[in-house]
Amino acid sequence: MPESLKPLFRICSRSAFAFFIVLLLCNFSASAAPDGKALFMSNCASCHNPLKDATGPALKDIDKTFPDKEWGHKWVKNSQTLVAAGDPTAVAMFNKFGKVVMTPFPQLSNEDIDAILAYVDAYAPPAAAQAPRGGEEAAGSNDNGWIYSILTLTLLVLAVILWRANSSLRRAANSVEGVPNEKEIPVYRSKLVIAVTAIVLFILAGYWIVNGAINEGRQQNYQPLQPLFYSHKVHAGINQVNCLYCHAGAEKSRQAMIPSTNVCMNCHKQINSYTGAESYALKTAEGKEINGTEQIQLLYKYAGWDPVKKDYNRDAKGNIMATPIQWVKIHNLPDHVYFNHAQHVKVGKVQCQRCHGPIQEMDEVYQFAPLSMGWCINCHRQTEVQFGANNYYSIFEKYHQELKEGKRTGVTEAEMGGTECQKCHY
Amino acid sequence: MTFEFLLFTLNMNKIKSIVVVSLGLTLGLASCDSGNMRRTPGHIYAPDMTYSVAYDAYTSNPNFSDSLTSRKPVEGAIARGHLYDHLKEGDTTAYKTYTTSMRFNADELKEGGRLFNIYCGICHGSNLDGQGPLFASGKFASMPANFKDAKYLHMPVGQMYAAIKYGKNMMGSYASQLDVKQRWMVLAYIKKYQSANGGDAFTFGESGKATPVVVDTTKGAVAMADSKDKKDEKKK
Ligand code: HEC
Ligand code: HEC
Ligand code: HEC
Ligand code: HEC
Ligand code: HEC
Ligand code: HEC
Repeated sequence: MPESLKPLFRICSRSAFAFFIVLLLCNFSASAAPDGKALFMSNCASCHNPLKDATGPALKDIDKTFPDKEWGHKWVKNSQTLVAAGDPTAVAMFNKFGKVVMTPFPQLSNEDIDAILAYVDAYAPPAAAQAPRGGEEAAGSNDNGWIYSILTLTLLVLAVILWRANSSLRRAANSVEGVPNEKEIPVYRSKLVIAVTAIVLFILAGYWIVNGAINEGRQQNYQPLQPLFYSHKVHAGINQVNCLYCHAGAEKSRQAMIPSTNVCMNCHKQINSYTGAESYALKTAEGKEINGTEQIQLLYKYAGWDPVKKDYNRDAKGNIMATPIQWVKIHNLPDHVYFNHAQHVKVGKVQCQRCHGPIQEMDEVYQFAPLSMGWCINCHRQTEVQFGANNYYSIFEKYHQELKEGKRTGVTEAEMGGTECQKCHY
Repeated sequence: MTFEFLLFTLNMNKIKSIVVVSLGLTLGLASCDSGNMRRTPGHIYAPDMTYSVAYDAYTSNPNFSDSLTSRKPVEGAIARGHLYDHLKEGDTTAYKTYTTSMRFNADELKEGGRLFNIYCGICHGSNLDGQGPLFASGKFASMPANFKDAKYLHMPVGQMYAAIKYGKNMMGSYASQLDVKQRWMVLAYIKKYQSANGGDAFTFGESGKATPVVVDTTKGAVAMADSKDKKDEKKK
């Protein structure tokens, strides 16, 4: 081994040895924990978290605050005897957590309790889940667009330069040979140029005006700023919350329903900060950074939730003092059209994403479909209804007969009358 | 042809400026085209044909001080076709004996399972073991109930019903998401699962010791509502 590498080798081997020792020690202390983990999960986890306050306090290192070890055993076996006896630590804790009575655990032995406390003291948070990388693809396709336009432009410039060089060469050659150059006519006077430009302009303007007129009143890609930065990607994408959890009306009624704040609070009583910022940073469409935790605090203001007291603010009559969040409505069919969610989601079994696009990838929702009449009709022509599974369709005997005879494979919505004007306009 | 002619007539300076302008235009257009995002809804031809003149579900309503069109039902009102329960919040002794006379067939139990996975599974886990995605990923501080645990295996169904209706500890109320029949379908699904995992015998199945529905109005109402809904959906 070369002389210069020796100290390095020594350091390496020493640190490896130290690492090995630490590993051994970890194993050793962890060997008491498994039992404690199981006990903690089955008895305490419903109210306690090692690191965060939940129904009860965070338990990591709580045994350091006990007057003595014995005290901890007494508390877990029956906390109310300590509270009733006026023990100051116990009473203070009882009052701090809103006088919620902790379940007594007389069946646990002192060793069990020590094992639980050892487990929570040694507890380390699980590694953050990796965020799925869906958004990257869209960015990739954008990049491609750039490359193509730059490529086209360079080719164009190249062509111009070459052509220009060519013509100056020809002129030079002409003057050398003594052939007179053609007299240049100014472009704007050339009849051909004027005519062609006029026709092109006419066609362009016509296209632009007709298209604009058709799209007037439609809102494809509309993505308004919302009063609270609520990300569908964080909820429906990364955390896998089902669309119907919040939009429960989609199966029951015409409206899909926007959830009121009590639905948000089902989860956000516990989730009081956004911890996903490293794996998935929140940004508006303009690229402005958003602090998720601040947004959750804003939600608390709307919901009337006091994150310190861990309870709702109530008025004298006991009503929760909440104000609805005024979300900006994105999809707006004109009033002369009738659209029903239950019909499509429950009966037709159409996926939300077919009409609303990749919502689970969007931070801010935008309108994916044009919501034009052609869009509705096109889908009605192409989509087959749930013909066999739906008792209501048993009266369509001709179609059933044809299906049985193998003359057709399915029945589209248009064949059920889905293109008749009065189904949508009445 | 014309294009060549056009270029022919320009001198080098003009070409330079054309290149610069077209470069600028392309870059400008490309930067405007940030995914076609728009923050404004645009214009409409005829507002009175687009926006409902009658108050619609989401429109604001000047007749109420809080300007909400969707009102809370009057206390004790029963929507047509819906069931009512006479439970009072906080009456824990009533919770313990509260139950239903509804019985469910295989399809309804399957529906209960589907509803469970949508509304409860995110916390309680699709294996009913309290290890739902939100707890497993560490977002939740406290563990949701594990229905396979001895504590819940024999829990009276009324107590579970009350937890759905009013919420319990960290769990909020699901009354706004699940109607009465759906709550019982979910509970029947849980009880069925529990009885297969060491819980009490399952009694909410149609073949179980089913008692006929006592409150016939509710049953009638449900049956009616079902057929009515179907008719409505088809009619549109
Ligand atoms: C029903 C919910 C619940 C369960 C289950 C529960 N706790 Fe608690 N725990 C609480 C509450 C609430 C407090 C806060 C004091 C109070 O309000 O009584 C608390 C406080 C504590 C304290 C702090 C006492 C102090 O004064 O420092 C310890 C230690 C503790 N619990 C341990 C446990 C252990 C160990 C288990 C499992 C065997 C457990 N708890 C199960 C609700 C619970
Ligand atoms: C945690 C609750 C929650 C979940 C889960 C959820 N949403 Fe939403 N959704 C909302 C809220 C709140 C709004 C209103 C704010 C907004 O537009 O961003 C909304 C808005 C929408 C809108 C726009 C409505 C309009 O104004 O026209 C659509 C479409 C939508 N959601 C579809 C979905 C789909 C599809 C899924 C499942 C992939 C889903 N949502 C999951 C809460 C949720
Ligand atoms: C099913 C549980 C659940 C429901 C219901 C829910 N959230 Fe969340 N919310 C989460 C989780 C999980 C996170 C991510 C927390 C983290 O990563 O630390 C989150 C994060 C957030 C954030 C921060 C990130 C962001 O999107 O800006 C906001 C704000 C938020 N929620 C608002 C809402 C609102 C408003 C509602 C009601 C429409 C709602 N939440 C309903 C589970 C939920
Ligand atoms: C067949 C197409 C289609 C499907 C499938 C569909 N939607 Fe919609 N959605 C629409 C249209 C059209 C509107 C606009 C309705 C209006 O303005 O009256 C809308 C509006 C909404 C709105 C806002 C207004 C409202 O009605 O509450 C939400 C939220 C929504 N959809 C969520 C969902 C969810 C969640 C699903 C899946 C369970 C879903 N949609 C499935 C077409 C669809
Ligand atoms: C993704 C495909 C799809 C789109 C887009 C779509 N529909 Fe439908 N629609 C269906 C299907 C499938 C059914 C049949 C449901 C059933 O079995 O009854 C249906 C049924 C209907 C019906 C009932 C027709 C009848 O026979 O009673 C109406 C009304 C309707 N749609 C209106 C609309 C309107 C308005 C729009 C546009 C805003 C629209 N739909 C867009 C797929 C679609
Ligand atoms: C599947 C549902 C559906 C059916 C069937 C349908 N329409 Fe429409 N219609 C729509 C929708 C959605 C719009 C709104 C388009 C928009 O906002 O751009 C619309 C808009 C219109 C408009 C206003 C012009 C416009 O494009 O905004 C007219 C006129 C109209 N429909 C006539 C008819 C006639 C006539 C029929 C029968 C041949 C018919 N519609 C059948 C869904 C339907």
